[in-house]
Amino acid sequence: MPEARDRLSSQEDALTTYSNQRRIFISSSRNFVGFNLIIFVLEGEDDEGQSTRTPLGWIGTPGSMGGVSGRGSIGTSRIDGSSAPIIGQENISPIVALARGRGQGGGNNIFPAWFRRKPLRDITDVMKAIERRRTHLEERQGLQTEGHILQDQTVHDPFVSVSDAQRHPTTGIRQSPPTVGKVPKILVNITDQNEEDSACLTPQKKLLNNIDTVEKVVMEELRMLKRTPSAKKAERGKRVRTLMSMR
Amino acid sequence: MDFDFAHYMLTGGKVEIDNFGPCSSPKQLYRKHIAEILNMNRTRILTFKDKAPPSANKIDVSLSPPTETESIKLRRHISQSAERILDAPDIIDDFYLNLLDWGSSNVVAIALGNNVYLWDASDGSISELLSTDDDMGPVTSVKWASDGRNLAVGFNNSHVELWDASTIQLLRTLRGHRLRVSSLDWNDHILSTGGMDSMIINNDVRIQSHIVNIFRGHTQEVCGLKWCPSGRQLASGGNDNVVTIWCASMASSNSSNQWIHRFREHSAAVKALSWCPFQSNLLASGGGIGDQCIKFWNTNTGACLNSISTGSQVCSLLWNSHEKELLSAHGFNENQLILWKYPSMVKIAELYGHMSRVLSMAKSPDGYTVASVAGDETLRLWNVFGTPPVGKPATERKREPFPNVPRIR
Repeated sequence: MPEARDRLSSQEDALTTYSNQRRIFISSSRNFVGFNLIIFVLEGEDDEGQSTRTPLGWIGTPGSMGGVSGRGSIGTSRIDGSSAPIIGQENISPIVALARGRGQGGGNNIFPAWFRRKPLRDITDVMKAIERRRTHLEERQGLQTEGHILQDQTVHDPFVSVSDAQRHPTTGIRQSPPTVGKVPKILVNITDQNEEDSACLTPQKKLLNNIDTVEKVVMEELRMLKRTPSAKKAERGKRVRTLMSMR
Repeated sequence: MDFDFAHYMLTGGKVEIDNFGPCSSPKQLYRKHIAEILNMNRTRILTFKDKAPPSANKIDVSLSPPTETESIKLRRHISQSAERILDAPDIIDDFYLNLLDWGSSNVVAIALGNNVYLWDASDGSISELLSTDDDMGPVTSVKWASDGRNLAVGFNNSHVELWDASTIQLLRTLRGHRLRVSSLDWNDHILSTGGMDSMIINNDVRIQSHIVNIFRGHTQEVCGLKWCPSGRQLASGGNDNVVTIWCASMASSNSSNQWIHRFREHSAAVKALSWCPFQSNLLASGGGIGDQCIKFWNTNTGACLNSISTGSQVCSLLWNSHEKELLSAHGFNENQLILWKYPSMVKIAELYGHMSRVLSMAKSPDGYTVASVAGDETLRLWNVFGTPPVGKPATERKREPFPNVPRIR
C-alpha cells in the first residue's frame, strides 16, 4: 500500500516555497469557523511546561491558547535558517477564502507588473488612478455578472448589493445608477421566460415578442421610477420653474 | 435696560475672559454654552424697546459667527481619503512587528525587509538609514528616541542597534534577547525591548552594561510595549493575550512580582496599546482576531472601564492630542481606521483605503497627521486629527487702539 498522502506534509512544502518568497508561514492550529485554514503540526521538541525559551522558538503550550480546536498551538521550527520568522495566529487571514481576489498575497496585485517600486516614493496619484480604474472595472463587472447572479430571479436590486460587497477597497460610497442597472435584469428575466415556448415560433416572431415584452417592461420600470419621491420632486421643481418664469 | 449686564460689561468682565489665554476646547465650549443660557452673549447694553429697525440684519450677523465657529469645532471635516500615499515595498506582513515610527524631528522611519528608510515629512526627502543581510535581518521593530535623532532598531536575530539618524552612524549594539525583538519603547534614557522570547529588557543606553533589569511575566511574544507619558508605568501586551502593567520604580529589583496589574480579559494577542494624553493612568488596549475589542483600563486601580467590540482585528491605537478622540486601525476584512469619540465611543469617522490589513500607525509630532502602513505595501498619511491652526487671531486684535476697553454702542 503506497504511503498515505499526508495532507500535512504537502502543505508544508507549499508553505516553504511560499515562505521563500514572502517569509511568512502559517502555523497555528486555532480554528476559525467558515473558511479553510491550513492546520498542521510540525514535528519537533516537545515544549516542556511553560517554557518558551527553547532555541527553536516554540511558542506557548497546548493549554495556553484556549482555541476552539483540541490541539495545542505550536510554532514552527526554523525551516529556512535564521531568516524564518515565526508566525502566530494573528497572521492568519480569516477571510482569505472569501476575498474576491483582493488583498491576497500581500497586495502585490495592486500594482501593475511594470511599475517600478521605490521605497517611500510618493504614489498618491498612481494609487488614485489605480483605484479609479478598479471602480470602473467593478462597475462593468457588476453589469456583466448581474445575469449570473440573477439566475434565481431575486427581487432586490442586484447592482446595489454587488456594489456594496465591493465597496470596501474604494473610499467613500459609490452611487449606483438605478436605471442602467435594471436593464440587464429585465433582459435576463425575458430570456428565461422565452426559453420555455420558443419551439413553436419562428425567429421573427420570437424577435417581435421580445421587443414587445421589453417595451412593456421598460415602460413599467419607467413608470415605477416616475412614482418615486425623488422623481416627483424633480417634476414638481420643473413645473415650479416654468411657472415662475411666466411671472 | 439690564443694569446688571451693563455693569458687567462696563467693568470689563467679558474682556477678562477673552484675555484669559488658551484653554482647552471643552472648557471653551462649556463657557460659551453657559454664556448662551445666561444671555451673556449680548454685544449691546442698550437695545430698542420695539422691534429692531430694518437694519436688524447687522445684529444677526454679529451673533451668527460664534455659532458657526462652534459648529465647525464640533464637527470638523475629516477627509475620507489619504492625504498622501507612499510606496512601502517588501514590508513584512506580520502582525507582531512594529515597523513604523514618526520621530519628533518630523522624520518617519519605516522598516522594509532588511532595510530601514527615513522619510522627512517637512520636505519629502527619502534616505536609507541601514541595510542588513539575511543573517541579522529582517528588521522587526523601530522606535525613535524622544530627541528625534536616535533610532532604536530591533532585528530578527535578537540584536538591537542604536543609530544616529543625522549622521547615519551606528552607535551601539545591545544584546540580551534570545529571539527576535518585536517591540521597543523609550523612557528617557531607558530603552525597553520586548521580544519573542517573552522577556522585556530595560536597557540604560548610556552605560556599558546596559541591562538594568528584565521584566518576566509574559509567556509568549511581547508585541506591544508602551511607557506612560509620566514614565512611571510600562504597559506590555503579548501573544499570550495578557496586558501587564509594570512599575518603573520596581525596575531595580529583580523580584518575581515586578508587575502591578495583569489584565487577562482579552481573548487574542494584544499589540495595540496607547496611554491617554489627557487623563493620566488611562490605558486603551486592542485585541487581535479572536477578540476584536478595545478595552479601557485604570492602571491605578486595575479596573476595566469600558470594552467595545469593533468587529475586526485591532492592530494599533492612537489618542488625539487635541480632542478627546481615539483612532483605531483594523485588519480583516475592511482594513479601515476608525475614529471614536471618547468616552462615548461613538464612531466619528471610518477611513477606508488600505487594501490589506493595517499593520502599524504613527502620529506626527504636531499631532494632526497619522501615518498608517499596511500589508498592501503602502504608507498612507491621514489628516484625521484636525488641521493645524493657520494663524493666531490675537495679533489682529492688537492693531486696534484700546483693545481692552469694552465699547458702549
